[in-house]
Amino acid sequence: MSMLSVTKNQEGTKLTINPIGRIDTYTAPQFDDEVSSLLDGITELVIDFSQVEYISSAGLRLIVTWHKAMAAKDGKFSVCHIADTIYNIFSATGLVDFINII
Amino acid sequence: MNYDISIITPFYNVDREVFRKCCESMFQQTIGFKRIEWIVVVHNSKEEYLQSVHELLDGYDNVKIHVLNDGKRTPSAPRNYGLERAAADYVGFLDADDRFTPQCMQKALFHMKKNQADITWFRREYELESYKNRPVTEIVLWDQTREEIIIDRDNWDEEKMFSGVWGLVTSRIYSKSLLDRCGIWFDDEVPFAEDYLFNIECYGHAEKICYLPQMIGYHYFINSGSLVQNSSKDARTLIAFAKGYKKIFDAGNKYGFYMNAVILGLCSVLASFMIASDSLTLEDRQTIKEILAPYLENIEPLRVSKLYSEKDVRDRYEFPRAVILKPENYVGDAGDDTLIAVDAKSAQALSPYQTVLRNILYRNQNTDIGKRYGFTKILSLTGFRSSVPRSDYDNYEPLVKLQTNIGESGIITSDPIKSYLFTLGKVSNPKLFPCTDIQLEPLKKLYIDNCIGKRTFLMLESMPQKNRFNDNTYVNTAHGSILSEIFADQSLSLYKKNSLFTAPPEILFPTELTDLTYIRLLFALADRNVDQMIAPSTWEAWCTLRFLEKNWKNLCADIASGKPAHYSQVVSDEFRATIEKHLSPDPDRAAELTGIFEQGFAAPIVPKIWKKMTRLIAFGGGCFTVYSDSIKRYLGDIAHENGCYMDLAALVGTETRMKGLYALDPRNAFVEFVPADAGSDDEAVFARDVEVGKRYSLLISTYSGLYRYRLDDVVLIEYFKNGIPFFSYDHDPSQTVRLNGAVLTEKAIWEAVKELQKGTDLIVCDFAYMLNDTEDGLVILLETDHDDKSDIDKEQIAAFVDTRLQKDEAYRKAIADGGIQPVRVEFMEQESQLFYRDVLMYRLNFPPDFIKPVRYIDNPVKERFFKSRIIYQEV
Repeated sequence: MSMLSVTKNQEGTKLTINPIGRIDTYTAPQFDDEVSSLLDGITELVIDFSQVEYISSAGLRLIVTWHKAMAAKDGKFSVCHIADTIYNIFSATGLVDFINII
Repeated sequence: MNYDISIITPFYNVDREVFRKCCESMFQQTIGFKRIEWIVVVHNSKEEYLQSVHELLDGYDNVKIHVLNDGKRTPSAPRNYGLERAAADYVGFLDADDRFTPQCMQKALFHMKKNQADITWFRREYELESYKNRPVTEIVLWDQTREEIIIDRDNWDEEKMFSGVWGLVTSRIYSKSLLDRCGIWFDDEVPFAEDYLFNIECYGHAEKICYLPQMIGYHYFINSGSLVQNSSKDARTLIAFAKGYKKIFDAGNKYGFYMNAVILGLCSVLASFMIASDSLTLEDRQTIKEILAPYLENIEPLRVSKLYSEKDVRDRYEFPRAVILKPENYVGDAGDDTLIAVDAKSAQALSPYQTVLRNILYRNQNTDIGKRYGFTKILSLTGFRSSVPRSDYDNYEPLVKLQTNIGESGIITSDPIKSYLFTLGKVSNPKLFPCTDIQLEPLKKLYIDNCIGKRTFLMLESMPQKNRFNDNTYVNTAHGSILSEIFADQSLSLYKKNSLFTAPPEILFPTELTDLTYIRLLFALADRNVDQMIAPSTWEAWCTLRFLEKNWKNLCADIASGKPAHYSQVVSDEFRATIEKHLSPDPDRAAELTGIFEQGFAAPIVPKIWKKMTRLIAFGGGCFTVYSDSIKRYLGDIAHENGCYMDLAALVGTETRMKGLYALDPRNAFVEFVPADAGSDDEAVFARDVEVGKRYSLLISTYSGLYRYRLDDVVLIEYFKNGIPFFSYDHDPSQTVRLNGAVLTEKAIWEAVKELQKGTDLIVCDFAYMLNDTEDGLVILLETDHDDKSDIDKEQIAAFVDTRLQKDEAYRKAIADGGIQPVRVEFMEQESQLFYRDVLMYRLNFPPDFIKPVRYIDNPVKERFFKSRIIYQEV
């Protein structure tokens, strides 16, 4: 069974999310719940990939969803510390064209 | 008082504002309004209109208002009434919805008196109430570089005098003494073209006529309901027209005038009316023939000139003669090729298939495209096929732009465009297809028939009507457009409309483009009485139920609280408040649902959630077949119906009791069939000529203005009954793989994959395919219900699929010869297809309805995307 834990750090209206583990079909709903419920009042959302082992299509869908959500309210969205393997996925799927990668 | 001229105006229920403009044109006459005796004969008009005439014209000594109520419909009687009372030496006629130009009277009278002419003629310009109506042009053969041309008995030019639109009294002034001396009146037994008879009599007695080719004296207004433009005529009226024509033609012949143009022109108009009439019997047609045959049988064709092109000459000669002189064409069997309405009493009426084309052509005859291809002259299906070329989007794109960017209309359809249907196109270039309410009418009716008396969980919404085009239209999906029509339907009460669907109107017609899957489910789950579901396709239905499977806890919590707390899409506060307004806390229902969901989704869940549920209506053919199979897991024994087969709002077929089998349904589209293996020049065949067992792509012609437009998909004719072909959806040619002589359709590949699931635990949720790196074999990507593939032998699966594909002889031979490499199978992550859809939706800002799943990965962008989704097992 896949495991995912999530830590959060909020500074003012900036929220940084640190998922730890795998973001896949099983853990994506939990991840969605944990993050989406915190977006009220947030003007900048950052997902820190430093401890992400793997992200599947289900997880990448969440990245698109949150990007849209933040853009809809003129907020900022970015991902950081992504490994080369995950960067390649972002590139192959076209996410690099619109997701801000720090 | 001595007036310079008497102007006679027959007035029949003309709008006050329109008549006010007519009055102003008289007040502005440079000759001086008071020098004109204006006789206004209010004819059979309503009191309110008579009142407006008095309000506008009382108090003017030179204006004589008379009331004439005689029940007659033509302007002859009021004109005669005015002529009897006209006191001036010269007379003119002004219709109450038209105007004179300011200098008209002054100039016309000047030339009249200078030349001592009996008649003076000048030009008319026109104004249209609606671009649906196009006037016959009033160009002339006269030398227009000359200000004045005098015609007398020694200098008589009949072809110029009696060609084109020459016979209208409103473009002339007359010597009153000519009319009185020769006893010339309007014959009120001539119900149409009565002007022509009047003018023939005048010309027959006139010694001198003055033509003013450069002077525009009259401003002509064409309204939608005018006698000339309104084409709906009953048999009695048409016979009366024919009798009136006889008088006109006899009068012209009496004076030895050149009557060819008049005869062929007026008979062409009558022939158009006859084609459009549904009430003419064979006897009526024979009566008309008897009256007009003497004039048509031996007539010579017109000459090619500025007025008449070669086509005009041919049409004006052949068309009226075909329709009027051949009533025997309507005897007995109408034949399956004709478009002409047959004897209304005969049992052999036009089939619905013939009728829809006839109606489309008739309705759009005055559009630019209708005139270009001569819709009024098309008398048969074969005539249609030979006159109108096939089309594709390249033909329509510039026309659509004229409409959306400039506000043009009447180009391809005579009806106002309600919306544009959006499709993605092959290379993600959006295409816009116009949609009119008559086009949507049968689809709306189908929807209402399916939904009345039921409570429907609708898995779709209209698109937000935000960015308006310059022709006052918006973009929408086909289903969204139909939904809009349902809610605009006046025959349904508001209560009834609101009770059809689980979601409230504010959700069905959202003001923002956002994912409403969660909200749809919230309303639907809260409602125990749902008895059917409708979705655009089984993909949408399957995605929704899968979403339910993953998110039921949040949904139940929100049903309990009555607030969409777990709805994660970012929407405006206003929209969120609208959603909340329609929700109420229902902890009982939430508890009931929680109990159901906690049992798991192994057994079909839908019958447990909604005990009254009877069916899902969602198109599940073609690329959606995989979801039609997958969704059974949720539906159990609940019926799945495909509903109708439609494309671009053309209703092509309705599903029979046998699932996936459609009967051709010609309610709003005329369909032709092009053999799927045809060359580019091969003819399309009609419904009567299709062959059972053969595959065809479709050409559609619609009320909305598509003519012989080729659709993407291929159908298979399964059988033929009572003249109706029954077909099934076969494949989309763009998803077909051609490999060294073998042709593999999406259907063939899916059926091979589907057999995998028999006797195995493997559940394939989705799939795609592409060529291998050396382009000599197929790679099939499978998306299954779990991402752990460690226990699955890919090679065994590949071999199984390959064996199934080898049912195709060409494929088997190529494999045996080594020309094709065996199939390779890879697994891709769950939700890969949905991820692709999400990215496209974001980039293109489209709703999910527009995006089809990817089957054939046929370009580098898709290849890169889907290859990155492949699950590679560690060795």
